[in-house]
Amino acid sequence: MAIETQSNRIIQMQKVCKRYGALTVLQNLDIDIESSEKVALIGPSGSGKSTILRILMTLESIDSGRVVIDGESLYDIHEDSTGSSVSKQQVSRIRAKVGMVFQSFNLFPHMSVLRNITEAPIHVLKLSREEAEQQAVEFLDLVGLQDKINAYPAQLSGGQKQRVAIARALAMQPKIMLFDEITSALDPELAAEVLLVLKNLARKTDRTMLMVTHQMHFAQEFADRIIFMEQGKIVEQGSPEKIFNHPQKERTRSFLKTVLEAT
Amino acid sequence: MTEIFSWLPILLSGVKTTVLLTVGAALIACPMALIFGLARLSSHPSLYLPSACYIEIFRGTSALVQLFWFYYVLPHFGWKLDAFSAGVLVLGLNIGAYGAEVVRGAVQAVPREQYEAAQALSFSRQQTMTRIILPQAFVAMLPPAGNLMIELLKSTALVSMITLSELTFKGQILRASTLKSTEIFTITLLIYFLLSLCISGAVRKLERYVSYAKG
Ligand SMILES: Nc1ncnc2c1ncn2[C@@H]1O[C@H](COP(=O)(O)OP(=O)(O)O)[C@@H](O)[C@H]1O
Ligand SMILES: [Mg+2]
Repeated sequence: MAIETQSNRIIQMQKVCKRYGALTVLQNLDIDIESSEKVALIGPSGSGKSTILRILMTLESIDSGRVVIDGESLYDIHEDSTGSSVSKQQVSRIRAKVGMVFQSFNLFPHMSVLRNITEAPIHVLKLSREEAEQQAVEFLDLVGLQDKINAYPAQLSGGQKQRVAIARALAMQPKIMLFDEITSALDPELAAEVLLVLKNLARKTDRTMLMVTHQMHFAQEFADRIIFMEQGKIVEQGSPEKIFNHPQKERTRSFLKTVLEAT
Repeated sequence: MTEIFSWLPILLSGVKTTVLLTVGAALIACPMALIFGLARLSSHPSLYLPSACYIEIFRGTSALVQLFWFYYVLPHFGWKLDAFSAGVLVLGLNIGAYGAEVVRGAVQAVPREQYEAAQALSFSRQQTMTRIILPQAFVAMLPPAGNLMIELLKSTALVSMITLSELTFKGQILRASTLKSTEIFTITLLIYFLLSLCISGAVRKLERYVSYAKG
């Protein structure tokens, strides 16, 4: 069931509410993201940033609201919890359009770097082994790790693991890539090598990218738009120039001040 | 000293039965452990309830009494087993119940993030289990499974109680005819020890074979 989309919005979240027991994590959240837009999500810890990515990755459900991804409805739940349910096939179709890179890498420890990257293309996308391996080599090239093709995750540095994780997600050719604080577990130097990869990637592809980050300088360079959120609500959003140089809200100013002082 | 050599053929014929009991029971225990260990993890009552019953009943009762029950009571219900079959079946089911807990623990020890990474790559639930979770769990279950195999070897001695002439039984027969308890039971202990060394050696080899680089 395709849904009429205005312009070329690839992600639409409308009035999304998400609760964990008594804790409301997202409150009537509205986010629209255009196709091929690069968006950075910033905000204090616990404000619901990861939850947004996890909802879009279909790892988490919502309590009410509407989520549409690339013209297909993922959720449409009214406040009284009624609403049209979405078929399993539709969920898998949507899931295939989205890729995610996690803070803790989550590589498969029992597989070589090559198999980490080719396993899903071969067994999910049904590519031939040759095709999948050839493509894996290209992605490893892109993240600068051709020489680690036969290594196991435990033999890699954190930065290398994260670059493999990026290649692994790319190999599924998702239209949308989600990055959840992918450099937070890394030393500054290792973080820099990962961010460089990401910057190249953002420049080379017209993929839609949504990233959660605490690296304000990086967000400034990388993103077309910054969304600042707190306690499950958007406080302010706009171009990096607007958010970093001319924030309108006092809360944005104080948040940026503390974050920039800390780094 | 020459006496000892004259006992050996008798003891070795017992060893053969002991090994066959161990191997036979292991062949029952492994699939039981895998099936019931995984069923125990299901959220479906029709899967986890039978599994929980099986595990608790076999762990919670004496293996020796189970053996008596299968050997002496089952015939009353029209199912007659010879001593060897009863031994293999009871030991297999018994170790299988402990093994199911090993399987369950190893699967649960795989971090939740591995499931999420698999889901983000669109693996089906079944592919996630067979390609991502079980291979990791298998590596984790090998050491405790090796312990269980040694436990199994030692518990084959119980089957002497239903007249099966395995190693311990042969030892008792020799002792009865020669009255050399010290020598005979020392040799018997040594043989058990050598057999268990074989098991731990084999398990360690298997561990090395399946373990992936850990840095
Ligand atoms: N599985 C969960 N169960 C209960 N509370 C959760 C769970 N996941 C996240 N939370 C809570 O939801 C809030 C938002 O979490 P998160 O989206 O991870 O925030 P952020 O990524 O912005 O730091 C936090 O208060 C967190 O403790
Ligand atoms: Mg987070």
